[in-house]
Amino acid sequence: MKQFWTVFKFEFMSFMKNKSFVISTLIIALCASLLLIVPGLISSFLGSDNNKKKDETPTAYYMISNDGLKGSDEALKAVFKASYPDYKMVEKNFDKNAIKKLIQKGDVDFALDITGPTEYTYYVDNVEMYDDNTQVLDEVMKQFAQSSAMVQAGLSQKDIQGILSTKVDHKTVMFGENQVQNYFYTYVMIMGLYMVIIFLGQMVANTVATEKSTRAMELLITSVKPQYMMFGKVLAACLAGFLELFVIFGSSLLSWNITKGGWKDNKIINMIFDMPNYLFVYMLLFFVLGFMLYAFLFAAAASCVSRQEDLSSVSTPVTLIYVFGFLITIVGISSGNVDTTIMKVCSMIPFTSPMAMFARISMSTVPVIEIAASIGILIVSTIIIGIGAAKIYRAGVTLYGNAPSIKKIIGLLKKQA
Amino acid sequence: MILEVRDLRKSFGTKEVLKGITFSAESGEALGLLGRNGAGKTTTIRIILDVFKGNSGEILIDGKPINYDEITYGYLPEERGLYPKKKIIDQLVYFAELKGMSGKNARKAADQWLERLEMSEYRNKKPQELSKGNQQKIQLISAVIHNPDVLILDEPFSGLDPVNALMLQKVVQEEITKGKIVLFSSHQMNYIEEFCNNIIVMRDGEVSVGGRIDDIKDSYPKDRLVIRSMDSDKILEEYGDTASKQADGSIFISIPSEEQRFAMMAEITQKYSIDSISVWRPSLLDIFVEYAGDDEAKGETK
Repeated sequence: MKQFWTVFKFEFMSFMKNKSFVISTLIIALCASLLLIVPGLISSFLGSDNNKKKDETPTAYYMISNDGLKGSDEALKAVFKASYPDYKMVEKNFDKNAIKKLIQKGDVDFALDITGPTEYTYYVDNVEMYDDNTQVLDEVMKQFAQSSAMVQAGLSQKDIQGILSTKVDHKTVMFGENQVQNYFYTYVMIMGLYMVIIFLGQMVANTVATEKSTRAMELLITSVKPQYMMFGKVLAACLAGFLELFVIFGSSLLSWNITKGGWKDNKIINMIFDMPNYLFVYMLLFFVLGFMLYAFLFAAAASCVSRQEDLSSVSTPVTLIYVFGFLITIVGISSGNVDTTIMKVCSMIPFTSPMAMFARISMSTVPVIEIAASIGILIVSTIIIGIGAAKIYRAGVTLYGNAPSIKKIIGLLKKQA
Repeated sequence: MILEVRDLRKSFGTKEVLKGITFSAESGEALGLLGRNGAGKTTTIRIILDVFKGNSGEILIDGKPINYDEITYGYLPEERGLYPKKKIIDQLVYFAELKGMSGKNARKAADQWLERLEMSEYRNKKPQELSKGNQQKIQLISAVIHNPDVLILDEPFSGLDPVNALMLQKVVQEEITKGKIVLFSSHQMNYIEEFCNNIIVMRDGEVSVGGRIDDIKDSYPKDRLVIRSMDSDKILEEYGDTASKQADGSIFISIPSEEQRFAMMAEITQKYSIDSISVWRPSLLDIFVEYAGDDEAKGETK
């Protein structure tokens, strides 16, 4: 066991002394913090500017070009004004070309041409993601048409108002998960895992390939049990990865806290930093296991090549396995249904379960037995793959020259067993 | 302590690399492993070091199967194995700690060894910044730093200048004197002659000859005389076909039978002015060429 700690300490310190690792971590942390701090700072520095802008109420033009509405246009105008309280609603006759110029110049935000009791044209420069002007107007015109019809049917204004202002109350009782919110955790976790696996997994593979190409491996396996070597290496990389994420997310969290005010309106950012505890625990668990599993695979792959240049040819298949699971999970969470058959299968397969099962836990309600089975399978496979990787590492000493075939590796594993 | 290797066999795929290797080595003595490239030396060493197992055969310490948790060994591989980009002191401490030393002792021992081999100034350098000879010194330190019971040195002196070679020779000699079992593999015969009392010569995965160097030399027929003399022309003339001049100026004379060698030496020294005369003994190179070479080479020497 002492050997394990010796390896662990040495490998961990190697990460800490690795300039590219330290510098890239600091740069990412700095960028993340800046991204979170700067918008907040801008809004507090330029706060007065913003207020001034807010004073200038945006202008919108409208015209009623349908004669049938002429009689009731006063009432319609009043409703327009009430419906767009943030806008200065100006009634103006315009033609298409003139309004195009005004809108593109920015003098007018949008324009409405009411062409009939139940139809209108909406002129705007870009339809923005959260543009709800047409929804508002649809509703306004609908109500207007309805009330006109009711007036004609002989109802009094009071009755009409009573009918139209009927309110429906609703309550939401959530038995499962808030998919919208958890979508982002899942996304962040999977991206984080992806980043760490690709970056640190490759670093583990690199150290193994270096040990092999410099033949330090020959000294190492005559000094230490390969299991200690392998687990020491991978756990050290895992801790280094955690430290990296801790620095990045820690500094981001700090920056977010400092400038919380500036993010009031950004629901996504706020959601990410507001994760429920149980989900955080699952995230840690799947993260550690997923990382170890892939780091072992990378290390085993690297043991089979004799030169650093050949590394990509053996590490690419490992990356592909990960990307496969990554894509399935992303498709699953994007479609909103994480309980499809393929996701259920993937959440049991150790290579994909860290992502797929976490996605299901956070976005759906998964039976405890399934979670336990998934974690159990993952733990057992991680240990088995770890021991297998140690054997391949040991056997790697005799594997020089061309990268061996899978058949040869399996043969070697059998021999070692 | 005695290290015994008994009937060791190993195949890689269909190729039989070791076909029953047997030898033994004792504390306080160095055993030279000789053989051409591919004869199976490194495979033998790796099996002894438990890098992989042999297909059959035994490795015994004092008659009992070797216990790798009890026996410590130091290994200097032929292909050097250092991390090129890690500080020398860190690597030495790491390797020593893996061999069971405490961090503190490892650091102390590393500093002592660095000082002894005049390497202290490179303590915080990286191997890639060092010359080949200096890397070799570091490699040797990593093999002996933890004071192992068994020391396996594969080509320890290759690439060294004479001063450095001498320095490392002292270290190796000291380890032998301390009572270590030393296995020594080299193609430089002078080093083998200097350090080893015993050798085994391997050919195609078999021990073609093994034992004390003196005994092996004595086993050769004593039917040739080596003479250095001012009168070499006269000697060549008198002994005709049985005499031949060598490239180094000495003369070989074949004797009809071993028993006559003393009489013949007396005769020649009486007749001619002789600088030196002796019964021919094979050099280690002769033995190597005969036992390690292929059959063709063997034919040529005989």
